[in-house]
Amino acid sequence: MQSLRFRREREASWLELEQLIEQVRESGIRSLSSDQLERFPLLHRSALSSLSVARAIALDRALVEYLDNLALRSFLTFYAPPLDLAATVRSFLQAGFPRAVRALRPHLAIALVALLIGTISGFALVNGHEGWFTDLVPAELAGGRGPASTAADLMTTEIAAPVPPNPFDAIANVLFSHNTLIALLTFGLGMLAGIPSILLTVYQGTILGAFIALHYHRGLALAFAGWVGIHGVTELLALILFAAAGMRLGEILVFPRELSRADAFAVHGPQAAKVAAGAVAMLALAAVLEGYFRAAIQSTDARLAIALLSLAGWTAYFSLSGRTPAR
Amino acid sequence: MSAENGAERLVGRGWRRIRMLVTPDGVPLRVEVAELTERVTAFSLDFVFIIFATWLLLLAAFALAFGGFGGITLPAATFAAFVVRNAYFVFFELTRAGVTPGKRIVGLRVIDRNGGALTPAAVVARNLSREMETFFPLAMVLQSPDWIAAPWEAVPVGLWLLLTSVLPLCNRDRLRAGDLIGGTIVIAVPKRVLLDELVAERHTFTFTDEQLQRYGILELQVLEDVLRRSVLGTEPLLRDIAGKIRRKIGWTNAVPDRDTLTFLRDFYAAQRAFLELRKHLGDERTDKFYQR
Repeated sequence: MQSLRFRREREASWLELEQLIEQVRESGIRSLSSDQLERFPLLHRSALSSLSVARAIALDRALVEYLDNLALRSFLTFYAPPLDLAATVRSFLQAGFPRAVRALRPHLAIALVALLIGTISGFALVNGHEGWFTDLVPAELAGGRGPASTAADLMTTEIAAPVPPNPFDAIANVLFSHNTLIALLTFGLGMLAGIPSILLTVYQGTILGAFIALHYHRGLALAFAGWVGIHGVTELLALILFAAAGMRLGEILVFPRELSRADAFAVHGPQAAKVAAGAVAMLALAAVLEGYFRAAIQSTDARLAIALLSLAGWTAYFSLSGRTPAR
Repeated sequence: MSAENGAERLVGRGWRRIRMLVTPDGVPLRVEVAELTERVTAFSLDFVFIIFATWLLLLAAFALAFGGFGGITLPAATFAAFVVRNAYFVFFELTRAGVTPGKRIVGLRVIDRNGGALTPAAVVARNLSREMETFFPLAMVLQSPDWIAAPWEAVPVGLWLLLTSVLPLCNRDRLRAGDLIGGTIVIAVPKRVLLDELVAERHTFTFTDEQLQRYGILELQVLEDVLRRSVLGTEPLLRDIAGKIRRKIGWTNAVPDRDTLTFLRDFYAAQRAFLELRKHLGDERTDKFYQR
């Protein structure tokens, strides 16, 4: 019988491969000796060919099932991604992130417009009537600030507030207030045709506009610009990146082009996620700036300088970094 | 192929969906898509580990606090929880090739949907949306202080949670939103051992070609399953099957009860050899109805 002879001839090589797979699973690919490393690809190919033969000639279901399983496990062991975590992060920051951002220029423009529309409308509403402030800004974000605050109140509790006793807490607090969650939602919910991304960006802009108007009325416009800008440049930029990445997801859903939706997501989704992943790092950086450096640097001029410097820095990074092809 | 699936259905295995994955070598591999129940089990295990890890981290912070590094505050705890729950999945799926501890226990693995290597971007993509899919709505439902007073406020959030958890049931590959974005799929990789060959060296009973015309591949494989599972206590069933086969193929000689198993094994061997030969000659007989 063909299948019987086939099994007798090949069985030893299957068991050898199985042993190698088990060894890699238990103690990693480095535990293989050089002889074993040489054998592995040969055994892998031979298992794949055994599978093809078995499918063609054998009616022994247990044998075909076993070979199917062996070939799959061998494939997964063989093609497991070699990963140097540090090198991956480095190449992501040097090239992957700015390249992924540059690929989303139209989306970035739309996100920026959405943010501006939100900011202008928030400003216009509160500028006309300060009562809007309490409607637009959630209480936990307003933190006691509102139409009743005087210029002196804002100065002491906010703009010139001293360094908190526990800077780590302040940073953590900032990171987990509101913004990070909204940012992740802006990205994830973008899957729904991108509409939530745009709405959430407009909403974030509205809050910013409301705050600007509140301070503008009390003659604190410049001081507020420094107070927000020192971290806000980085944070708002991250927000725009999240929104752009979210819109990209929505675009894939609505216009998968020549691919099926699932395939379109598989091809383009990770690229959009790269932008969001980099933006998470930017949020963390913004939180450090906001939680510690903003209070440590009290001069409005210095704050504005940092804001402008960070704007220039990010612009240069995103437009210049990773231009040359990777080595 | 259809005969194999038929046998799978009949013997009650193969409850997972099957998908073909073409390797870079060009060989289609049969992968079993992990079912939702397994995924939920793996996630729950991971969730327990995450809580445990967060708790350990806070305990360490608490110990440091005695050393004069400031106390643990709510923001620090929230921060730790956020970092742990987001870094956990990314870290393990990156360094352990798509296997988190929970998935390892259940026997699941994240792989690239199109047979390539699992890239870091794909891993990050499938986990960045976890916050949106699960953690955020879950926290809203659990934490919202006024949802007992205003239960309808929980409705949209509950709906959100329901939608994201039902999504895997709405597609063949059991993809959740994160899998869709990342181009990944979660598969079950059970470990199969090479079972013993059922065909013995020596035959007691011999069959003529005429007697082997009656059955096809489907019946052969069901018989294979019966023989592989036969243990003490199944003798009446085996006798029953042997009787039916004897009637069908027109076997007139008597078979003593103690030889039932030998008879079935010999019949299996002869039938398999016959059907393999027929298949080799281009006459694949999928089941006993092949002639019609």
